[in-house]
Amino acid sequence: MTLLQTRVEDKIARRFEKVARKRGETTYSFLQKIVFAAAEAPEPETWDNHWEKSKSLHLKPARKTVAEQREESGER
Amino acid sequence: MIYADTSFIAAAYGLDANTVAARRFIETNHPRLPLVFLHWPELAKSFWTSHPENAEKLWDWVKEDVAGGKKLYPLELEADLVARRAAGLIINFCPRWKKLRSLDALHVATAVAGNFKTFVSFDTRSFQRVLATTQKLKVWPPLTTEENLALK
Repeated sequence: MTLLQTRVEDKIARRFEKVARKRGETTYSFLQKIVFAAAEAPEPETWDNHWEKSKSLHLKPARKTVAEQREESGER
Repeated sequence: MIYADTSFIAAAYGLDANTVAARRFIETNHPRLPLVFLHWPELAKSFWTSHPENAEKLWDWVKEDVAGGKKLYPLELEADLVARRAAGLIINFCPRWKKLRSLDALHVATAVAGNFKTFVSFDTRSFQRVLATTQKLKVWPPLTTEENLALK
């Protein structure tokens, strides 16, 4: 399956070719790598699973809040 | 648009006396919160002093969430503009509240410069939340009796 047939500005295309060459890739292999990485990237986290993740860290309750720390250090 | 200061973000990622309240707020509002240059040093201090054994994990978690953009996002503001605005607040309010800190003024100036409407902070021990009220920001949690007295 052909996924991308995208027209881009000449300037962008030349820069892309240059970066690919610098990394020892062909334009095509570099583009493929980028597509693979994007497809495998995990979904960004939302607040929905935040608390479960927090619980899994087994945090000990902090003795001081940020407000107390600010006060204690006499931050001006 | 909601601006949360470091006391809120530290409570949401770490575990302190305000974590339950932070969770309640997040579950009700599902906020997407900005992280600005002011948050990083305060968060580092909070994580490495309050949760030293998990500090790196918390730090990486925040960085991932900022990159993800769903919970947090990087907000780039012109530091000089924010600082000048904070200086203006200090000039106007320091004669009245001698203990007004630069940090308080900087957080409020950031919220104003970023056109935020709501200011979320658990720091009831300073003039930060009172100052935010004077700038027409809606403050959460609501001001305490002492804070309201400072406004008069």
